[in-house]
Amino acid sequence: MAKRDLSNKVAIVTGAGSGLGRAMTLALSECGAKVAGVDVNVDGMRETSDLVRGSFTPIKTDITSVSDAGNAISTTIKDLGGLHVLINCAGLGMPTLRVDYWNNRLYFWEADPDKWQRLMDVNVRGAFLMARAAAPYLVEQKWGRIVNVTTSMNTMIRGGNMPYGQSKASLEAASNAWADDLKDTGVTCNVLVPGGAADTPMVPHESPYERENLVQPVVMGPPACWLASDDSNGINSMRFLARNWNPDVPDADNVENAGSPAAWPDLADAASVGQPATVHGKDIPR
Amino acid sequence: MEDKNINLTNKVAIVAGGGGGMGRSIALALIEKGAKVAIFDIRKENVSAVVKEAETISGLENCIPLVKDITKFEDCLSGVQETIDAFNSANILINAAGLGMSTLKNDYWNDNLKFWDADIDRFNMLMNVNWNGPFLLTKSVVPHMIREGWGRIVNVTTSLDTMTNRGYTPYGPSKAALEAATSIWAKDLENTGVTANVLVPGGPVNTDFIPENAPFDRSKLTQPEVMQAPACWLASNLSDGITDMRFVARSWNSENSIDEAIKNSGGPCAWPDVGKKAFKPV
Repeated sequence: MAKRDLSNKVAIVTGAGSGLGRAMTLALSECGAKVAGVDVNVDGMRETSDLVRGSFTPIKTDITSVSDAGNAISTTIKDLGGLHVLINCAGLGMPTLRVDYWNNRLYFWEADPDKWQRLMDVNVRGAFLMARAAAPYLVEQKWGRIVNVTTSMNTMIRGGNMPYGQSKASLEAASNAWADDLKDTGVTCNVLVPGGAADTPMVPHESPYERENLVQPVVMGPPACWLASDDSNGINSMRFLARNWNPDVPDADNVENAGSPAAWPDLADAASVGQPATVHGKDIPR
Repeated sequence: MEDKNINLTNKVAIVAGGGGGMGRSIALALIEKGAKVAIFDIRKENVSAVVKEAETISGLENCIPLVKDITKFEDCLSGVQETIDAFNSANILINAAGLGMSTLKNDYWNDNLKFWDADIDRFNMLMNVNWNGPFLLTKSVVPHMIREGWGRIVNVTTSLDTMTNRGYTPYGPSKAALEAATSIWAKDLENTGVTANVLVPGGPVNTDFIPENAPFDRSKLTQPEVMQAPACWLASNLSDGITDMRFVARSWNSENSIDEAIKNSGGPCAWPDVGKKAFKPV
């Protein structure tokens, strides 16, 4: 399929210094987007910069800092002439709590509170701080994208996976809520996941996986570029599994094959059966 | 029903958020059934009031106040220690402490808070109470439960639709995190005799989560007392082996047998079936 033309788009990718963030940065810039890379990892962003064949502006940012996050958004708008797409990809994994977690299970009560907090701050609060700084500009512009990278639904609740799982559950719920807050604004919010453990630094090299059997980060590129383009106008509150995305078939087929609603709306509908929706004609807050 | 047979005389519960709302309601019910209860809450006057109420039910010395901040690990650790010092155990934890959307916007029910308008300090405050709190307190007490070979963690989350509702950042996402955490904890606790389950009211509740000036007929809201019967059952030996589940309190019918009540109000915790449709990691 022809390469998507993103030459009129400016994108911010958090976590651009490694893994999935780097892969999406390379793909977006190759399609002509101007990409601002956001990461605390300056060395990683330098490596990304070396690989990019297009426009790339690294902005060293701690997304858990309110002022850093705000600065990343305003600097991008000022220096790159606008903002259209925010990809919240930065995240910490279980190795930040236990390096050999895959064969030495971290039971939740062993989790160090400070490391627990750091992971939750990066994975949820960071995404929120970036999104809240970007949203007013995007809404004003009447066009924009927020793409949150979460994880497989079963990974969110797998034993030995706290706090990573719960952080991604929270971001998944937030994505759905944000999509609803953004309804009819021209700005959308969707989830993009690789569709399995990916070949990134989050899965340490000491782990017993054959690297080539892991999902390769490059799969994130085509759906990320589609989400960043006008071709995904109106697509909101969905989640996409990148490894089910086939660049050789029409977008509509990919939406069908790789897409599903974000979060757990079917369960939510089932759970709310029989609950009164209104009292005195007012919606009941839930 | 078998409800009447529930006897909690050997049980010691810590009820976080026990100073009001659902926490208070659960605490008083546990005491009624003979449990010893520590009321863990930052609201000093509320705690004193509940301890006083408890005295009228079962006399002195079955209820202690823990006026503490659930977002501070040292408060959680000392709260657990004071409970064990007073009652020789701590084998039930009810995580009912939580902040609602009115923390961020008093009239949120008729004017949705857009996520980008959320005040950062209040966002942090809510998240700290709703997700750090249960983790820190559970981390503090669980090693003791495992040593005893018996224990209960009961987390109060919210309806699955509320987690993703418009205008519900950060309340919804905070509860999604706790829901996922409960499911992970249940698995981490396999074969320890300690269980982890979710208990939700099943709709908006007549507590101070719904501000005084809200235009609702409060009698039509779910009443906090619906939490009592399923909470007492979860706290008892009758729920041995039940873990990684969620129970909707308003669907718990005390007229029925416990098996019927479980069937009508229980389901798996979180979203395991949604997960089955996703790819398994390699």
